[in-house]
Amino acid sequence: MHEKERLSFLLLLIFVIIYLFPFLIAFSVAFKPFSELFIFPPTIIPRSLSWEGFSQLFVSMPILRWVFNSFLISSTATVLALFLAVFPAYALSRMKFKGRDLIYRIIISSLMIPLAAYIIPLFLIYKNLGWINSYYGLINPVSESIYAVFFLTQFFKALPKEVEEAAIIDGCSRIRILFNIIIPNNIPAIISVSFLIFLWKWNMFYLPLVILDDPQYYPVAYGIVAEAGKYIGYYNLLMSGIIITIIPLIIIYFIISKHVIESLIELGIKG
Amino acid sequence: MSLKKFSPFFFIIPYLLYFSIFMLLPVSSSIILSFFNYKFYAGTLNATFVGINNYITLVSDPIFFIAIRNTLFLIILLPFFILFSIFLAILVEQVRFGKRFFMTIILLPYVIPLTVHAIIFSFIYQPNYGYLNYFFYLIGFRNILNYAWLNERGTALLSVEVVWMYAYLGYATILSYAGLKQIPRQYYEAAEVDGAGFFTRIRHITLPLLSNAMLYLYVSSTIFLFNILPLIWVMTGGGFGYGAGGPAFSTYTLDLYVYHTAFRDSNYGYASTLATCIFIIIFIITSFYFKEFKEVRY
Repeated sequence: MHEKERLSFLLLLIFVIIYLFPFLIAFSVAFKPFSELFIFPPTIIPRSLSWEGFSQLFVSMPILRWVFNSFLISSTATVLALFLAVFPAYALSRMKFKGRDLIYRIIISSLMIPLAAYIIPLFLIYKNLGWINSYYGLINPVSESIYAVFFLTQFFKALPKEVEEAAIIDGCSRIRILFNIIIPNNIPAIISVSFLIFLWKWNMFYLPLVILDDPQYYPVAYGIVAEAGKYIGYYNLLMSGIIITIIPLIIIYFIISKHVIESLIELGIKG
Repeated sequence: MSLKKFSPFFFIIPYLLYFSIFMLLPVSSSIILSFFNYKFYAGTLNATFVGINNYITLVSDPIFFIAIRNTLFLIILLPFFILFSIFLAILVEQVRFGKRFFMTIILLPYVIPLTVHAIIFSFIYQPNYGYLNYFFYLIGFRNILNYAWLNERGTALLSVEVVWMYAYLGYATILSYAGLKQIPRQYYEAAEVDGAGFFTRIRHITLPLLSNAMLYLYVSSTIFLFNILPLIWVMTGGGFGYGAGGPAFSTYTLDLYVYHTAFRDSNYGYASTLATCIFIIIFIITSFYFKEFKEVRY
């Protein structure tokens, strides 16, 4: 190792240790008894391990139902967003037609609009559709599908033209090209964008805040906060809720982080 | 042949329809509604056209200006965030062993919901028993122990933004790393031959040539900054939505104001005016970025 490389490695290592500190806190507090939450000096390793937080959590919040909701909402939304996005992404990246660049630009620029800017009409639309207090409104992947169109268009562009032309000469239809050539060649990108959509749906806050008041439909990341008002101070209960919220995400993330990181870097390079 | 000519539209029209219903329609109605008095009145929704009345109310609304000021405060701190992400990306680029490990850990907080960060950090920030104050206590600031970071007007917004930065640093670092990868090696080699040191190289080669990535970084960070609501909701005021935006409106932001006006006070017209302002602000800021960061070609 070079001198410079060793220094960078050391700095990163120190940084990562500080960086993971909040996670350590969450795990440590989740296993503390209530009596150990407000003591000075605060301990990092609990003096006495306790399941108090978890057992109170299961009594006071329907947390498993919420985890189920989150899985249902996130995975349905992901499938739906991909299904919506592959066709326009294919057309925008590999076909020439009038107005293509304009359409692309309009779709992309809408990524810059935060939900707060159009939440009121969206709420009224959902209300008319009967999507208040239901899964439908939560699943509907509006901004997620837009991001997927952007993401997939950038990746679909990269495949050499010749491959596709050869397939056209062989008499392949556009649909078959999309499903037999374009998609199989972009699996890492599709995994990454699926993960991001899944993640955003798992983590959403503003939308459930506006369209839900029935705890039965809460996604878990929203639910622990929405119900937490009754348990202010009970940090061991809240932290055990946090553990349950993030464990599925972290497991999925560690399995596919390689693809996610590489795709995000590639996307950054493509602009 | 004629069918072939139309085939792009078969691919794109279903999505355009979806996009129009759930994006274009809400966005344009948001702007249209901003010219209406649209309220729940005696149990029914009533809409009357009021011209620019809502906008007149807006310019004399002190809370609106506080929200704008807070948003600007958040944006002004972005350069520090972005420079730090570039610094991290440079470090990651230099290590060969453990590169993937560091990247994975650095992106980890991005995967976690903001509501979760909010709960963890309100525990870390709390007075007397919080880890942050204990840390300061240990390094010698003995009288800071009962300082409530989130309940003081001077530090509440900053404390919340630090958590936001923690959550999005990984994403920004990956974008910076992508930007670094784009800079051709020859520039560095030439500089090294000329005897330029590490910091000279960063200042005169890396940062100027990172202009494209910087634009992307600033635009996406600004968009992400408008996701800060869950942090403010959970961490400020009494916590978990009680008095969110406090103390004394020092963490009040536009999206929170939209939420309160529309969904607590049922004043959809005025809330749409506020929503339209969010748009205008984003438009102004992004055009500023586009002007500031010219495209570089290598």
